Amino acid sequence: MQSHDEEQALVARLRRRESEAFTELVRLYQHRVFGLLLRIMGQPDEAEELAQEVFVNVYRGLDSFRGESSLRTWIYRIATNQAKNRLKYLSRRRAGQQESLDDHPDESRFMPLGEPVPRPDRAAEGAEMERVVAGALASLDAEHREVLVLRDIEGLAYEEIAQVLGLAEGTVKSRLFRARYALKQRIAAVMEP
Amino acid sequence: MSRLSDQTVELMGAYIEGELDAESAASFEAQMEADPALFAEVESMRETVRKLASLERPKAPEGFSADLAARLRSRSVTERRGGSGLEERWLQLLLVAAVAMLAWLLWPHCGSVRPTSGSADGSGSGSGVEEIVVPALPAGEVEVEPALPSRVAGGPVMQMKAIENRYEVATTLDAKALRTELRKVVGDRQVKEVEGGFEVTLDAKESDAERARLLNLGRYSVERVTLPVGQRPPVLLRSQPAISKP
Repeated sequence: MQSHDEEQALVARLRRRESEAFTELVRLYQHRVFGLLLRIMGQPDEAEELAQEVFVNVYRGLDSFRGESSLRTWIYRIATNQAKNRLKYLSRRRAGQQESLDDHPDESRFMPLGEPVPRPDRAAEGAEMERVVAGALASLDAEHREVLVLRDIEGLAYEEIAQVLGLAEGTVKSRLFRARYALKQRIAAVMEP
Repeated sequence: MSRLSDQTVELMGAYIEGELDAESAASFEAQMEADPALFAEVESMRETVRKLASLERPKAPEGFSADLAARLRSRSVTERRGGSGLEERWLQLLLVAAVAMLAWLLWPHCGSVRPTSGSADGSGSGSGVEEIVVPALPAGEVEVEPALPSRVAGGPVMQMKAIENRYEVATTLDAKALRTELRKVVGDRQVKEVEGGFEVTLDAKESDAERARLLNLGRYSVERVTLPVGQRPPVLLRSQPAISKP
């Protein structure tokens, strides 16, 4: 995590068009952006493609970054918007099924690592639990996934999440609490058949 | 326990986050004391948050940066000349800015030019030198129409290339005419004769502040431009300053 001063220094370098600054930006944020998108999209190839596009858009939009939010918030906002647009596209493409991704989540479609949720008798601690939680997270609707990832995995403050998602802080909290409960229920459903 | 109401879920969430005031928190704790199932729900919710926080952080695939550089390069400029990655793209922006400023400096009286599309008059075309397509800069900044010939009939053709930290711009103006033009617009202090051309210091904060403001070029930190005369660097950029006056 960059300090405020470090981030300001990087932003200043980006504005001065220093050639190394964008490379440093990518180095700092590539894993976070990819991780965020992987959790939201559920599939590594989708996440990678979107992450690439996020940085292209960051690059193109540097001049429009006014510093009213943190650099991290701004980049995450671009990433979540990219993900939403992609999910909408995928949803429309599947319109023949008369389903939306959010209303009728297909767990297998969102398995992050392409592996099934383990059976309860195999779901112990460690890696198995990781897969259970990741699978349950992936099975939630996109709105719940993104708010959980931003808050409980990425550790953003409510204010930052509100900026990223373009929501009021109260809405963020409400959505977060419901998302956590939904996740807990999904995990319980796997663990306690 | 049966499914909790949305109201209880939000109350529980606020309690876990420490968002409740003292009175509401005490009231909720009293409810938990009276209802072990609710207490279990709260504990289970806390455990869920802990599990989420401990999830492994995925890493971007190997080669992510290299792929991104290739993607940016492929989209940044369509050029016949090979690029060298992100720095190339940054450099292109700098180069475009430098040429636009120089064009403005050299043709100070064509300032009402607006961005145009399609072909303009054909001055300088067919020179047999390579062309590159210059990406449009973001709105509000200098725009250079790609591969358009100079709007100034008979005006100088500029050529440019990057050499380490400086940008060399060649022009078809002869040395005398170039010196006259340069001194006319930037003053003696900023023009220094060097071997093969002139070294110009463009200081947006001083005598060229007004033009720099018009061009919104200050941010590019274009400080030094070397203008060799009569050279033919490998890249030709035929550009025009597409200036929207404020």
